[in-house]
Amino acid sequence: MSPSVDILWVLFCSALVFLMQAGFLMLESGFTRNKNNINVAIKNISDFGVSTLVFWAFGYALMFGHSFGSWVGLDDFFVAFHDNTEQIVFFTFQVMFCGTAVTIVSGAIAERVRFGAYMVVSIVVAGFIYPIFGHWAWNGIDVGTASGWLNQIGFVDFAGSTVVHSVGGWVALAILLVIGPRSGRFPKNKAPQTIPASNLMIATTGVMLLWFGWFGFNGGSSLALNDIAIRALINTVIAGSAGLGGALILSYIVYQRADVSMLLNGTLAGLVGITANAHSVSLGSAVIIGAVAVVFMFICDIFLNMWHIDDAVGAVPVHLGAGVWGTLAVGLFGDLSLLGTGLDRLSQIGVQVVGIITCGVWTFFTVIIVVTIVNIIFKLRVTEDDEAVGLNISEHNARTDLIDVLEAMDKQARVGDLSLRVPVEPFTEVGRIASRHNRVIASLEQAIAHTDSIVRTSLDGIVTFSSVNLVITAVNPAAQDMFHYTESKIIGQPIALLFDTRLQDFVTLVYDLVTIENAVELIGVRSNGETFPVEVAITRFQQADAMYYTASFRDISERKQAEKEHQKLRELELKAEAALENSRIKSEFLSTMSHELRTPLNALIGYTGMLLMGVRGKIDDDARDVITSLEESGKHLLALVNDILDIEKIESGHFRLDNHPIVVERMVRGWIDHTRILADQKGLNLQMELDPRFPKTIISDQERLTQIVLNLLSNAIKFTPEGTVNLCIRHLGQQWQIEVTDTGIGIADYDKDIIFEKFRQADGSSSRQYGGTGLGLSIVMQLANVMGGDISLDSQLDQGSKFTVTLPLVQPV
Amino acid sequence: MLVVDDDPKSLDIAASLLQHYGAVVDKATNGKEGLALALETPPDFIITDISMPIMDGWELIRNLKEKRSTQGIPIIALTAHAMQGHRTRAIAAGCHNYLTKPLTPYTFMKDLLILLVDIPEFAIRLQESQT
Repeated sequence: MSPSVDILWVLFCSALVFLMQAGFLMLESGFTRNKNNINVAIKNISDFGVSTLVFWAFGYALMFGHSFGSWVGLDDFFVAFHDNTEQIVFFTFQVMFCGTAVTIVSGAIAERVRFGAYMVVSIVVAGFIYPIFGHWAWNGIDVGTASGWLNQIGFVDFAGSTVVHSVGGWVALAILLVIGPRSGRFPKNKAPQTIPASNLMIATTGVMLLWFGWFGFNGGSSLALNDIAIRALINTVIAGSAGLGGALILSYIVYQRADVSMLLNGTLAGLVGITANAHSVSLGSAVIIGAVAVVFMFICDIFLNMWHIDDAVGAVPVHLGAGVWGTLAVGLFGDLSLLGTGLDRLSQIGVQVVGIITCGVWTFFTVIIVVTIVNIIFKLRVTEDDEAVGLNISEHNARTDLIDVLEAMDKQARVGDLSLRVPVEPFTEVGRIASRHNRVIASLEQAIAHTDSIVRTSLDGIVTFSSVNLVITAVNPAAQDMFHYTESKIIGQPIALLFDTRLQDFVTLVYDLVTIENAVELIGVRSNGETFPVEVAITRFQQADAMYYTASFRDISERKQAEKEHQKLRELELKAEAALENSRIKSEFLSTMSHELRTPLNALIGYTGMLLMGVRGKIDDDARDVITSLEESGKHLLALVNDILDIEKIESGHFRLDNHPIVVERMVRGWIDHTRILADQKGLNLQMELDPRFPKTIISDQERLTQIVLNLLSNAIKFTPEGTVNLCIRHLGQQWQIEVTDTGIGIADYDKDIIFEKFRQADGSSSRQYGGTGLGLSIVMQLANVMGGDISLDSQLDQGSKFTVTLPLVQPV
Repeated sequence: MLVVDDDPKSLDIAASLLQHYGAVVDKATNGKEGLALALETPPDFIITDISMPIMDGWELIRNLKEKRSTQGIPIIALTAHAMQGHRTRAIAAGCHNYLTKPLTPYTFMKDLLILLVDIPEFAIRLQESQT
């Protein structure tokens, strides 16, 4: 490596290998979730920086210092170079390799490891584990001698399938076993879950960068721009492509589609596979190596899944699985002359296997021990909460616009305050989502406000209670009024407090109510212990993880009362109807009966009258007496029937006044004419006085007036043995009076009240002495009442009586 | 004159009384019969019951008032005591007046005269026949 062109080439290749750091960064952060991507990225850049420093201070000395018994280099710590350009260039190239080996680990163990602990691991790997194995395989390559023991026995690893990639893979595997899978990756009693990649486009770009960097990785490993470098370059291109092709075929076989991560990792596997042998195989072999590397990767992946080892980006299958294959392929496909180890093929293969096993044993067990100790001291794994939140925040407090929005949403979900809005970062995708979210929340807030106002103003009491212990969580004003509780008093109380029901019964009741979805009537209890009928409907709703019920109450006391009253009213109506019906039947019966009675009576009275008048010839005196008795009995019976019928009519309300204009004087004279015969028979003086101011005509029911007056007059004549009966018609403003005065036997005070009762005459015996039905005065009084007037009596025993009927001049309608 | 009544005794009493006072009386036991008699030989006046089978008093009155030959004949309706409103209805139907059953032999003629007092020539004739 003396010509400047070689120096330039190796420096250029170093730059390319450095670029692989960016490739790893993009691949790993693209394969992991957004909440961890910053952590993955910062791990990538940090492990490079830290490993570079450590490699300069210790690693380079251990790896490339003068070999101490082919096992370890012990000089050139904190190497100073002293203007040794070649050594500087070599160091530059090697430090990139070291960084690569370390960074492989970061992807595998991503999304769960604490950053600080990972830095410690990086230091150990870059400063100790990688350089020691590197010493065995590569010490002396800078000066063209084989000083490491593996190198001495013929182990060939051109650009580091084992030294770089397998070491990285073994370290990753060991750490993975210690820290365990990410939460949710291998749930109990469930199939393994795929954790989604955040950005496969970035990951793909990362693979492109890696591939590009790999030209430097393999091409620079000849440490000169020569045939070897060129062959290595073309093999790298071909093997990478073969990896992609193999992955494509395998992907279609296994998944029936081009699986993105399979394609990306397959490409990388092909590249890893060719790394050990790029300088010594044909292009055809390169194709086979690249393709078979994918198979190794795939099988390795199957084992990891089987053992529940969670490699976040597939680093172990790619770098360890394909690395082992690539190293083995040196023996299988390598041009023995180009390898220049002097071994036959079988021995070469054996040596390669020794190298592979050595690498595994050394790296894996050392790392297990180191990491277990580191884990005790530093705690490798983040807490479960931090893992859930994401390492961006928990490890670095690295905020993104998305994180801010998510946090604002979380807060909103936690406190339930719909007036909160999430921050909107303009001109970003997250900003657009945030702004849409705000609009959705605004609509929701409006809808809730609408519902809230309905609940607030509802006349029904609305109570929300939780399914846990049925404790009240919210009440509206109507419910507070209904149950006489203030909001602060009732919230937190069991809902059963509001009911006259035992809690146990109520629990079943609630479930029943929710099921039937109908309102039922229960007895509610107010805070003062007063009970009232209440209609209740209960619905169930889910909020977050908890179940709630909403009960709607309606105080139905008034309705119940109204129903009761309506019932009463209805009963009364029925009674009234029945009474009416009874009365109708009674009237009908009386009317029919009276008619049937009257017909023979008419004949009796008619014929007796005719006999007495001599219409049918002369009759002797004895017969006349008998016939007179017959006639009187007939008349009495007829009067009785008529009176009964009148009373019945008045009392049943069927009575109607038949009002017409009446010529008063003619009517009054008619009354006198009618009764004069009776008065004359007893030799009484019948007098009439008509108030001269009395109107000539009035409107009234002549028939009923006549009935009243003739009753009074005939009574007066009947009970007056001698003297005068006087009829006086008086005008008194809006009223008028009919006054019948006699000088008869009078009525005792104690009889004055009963004479208006039915079938009562003042003296029990008088009916027989004086005749009459005992219904007359009762009818008179009732008729007077019906006509809007009244009757009064003024009488003294043995002095005479005065009956006064007072009537309004204008008849009530 | 014509007396119409379905009750034979009532009919006999009314007819006998009128005959007693010298009237020539035709008798019918229902409205239809009465109408036929009235059309055949128009009487000076008619006394008719209201409730009758076949053709009641109302229909008889209506028929009589429709026929030219009988519409001028005074009609006295006989109404049962209990029948409210019959009086008004009878007058409205074209009856001259009404009498309430039962007929009282003593006062029958007098009552009848009072009712017919505003048909002077008729009253005079009755008066004459009575004496």
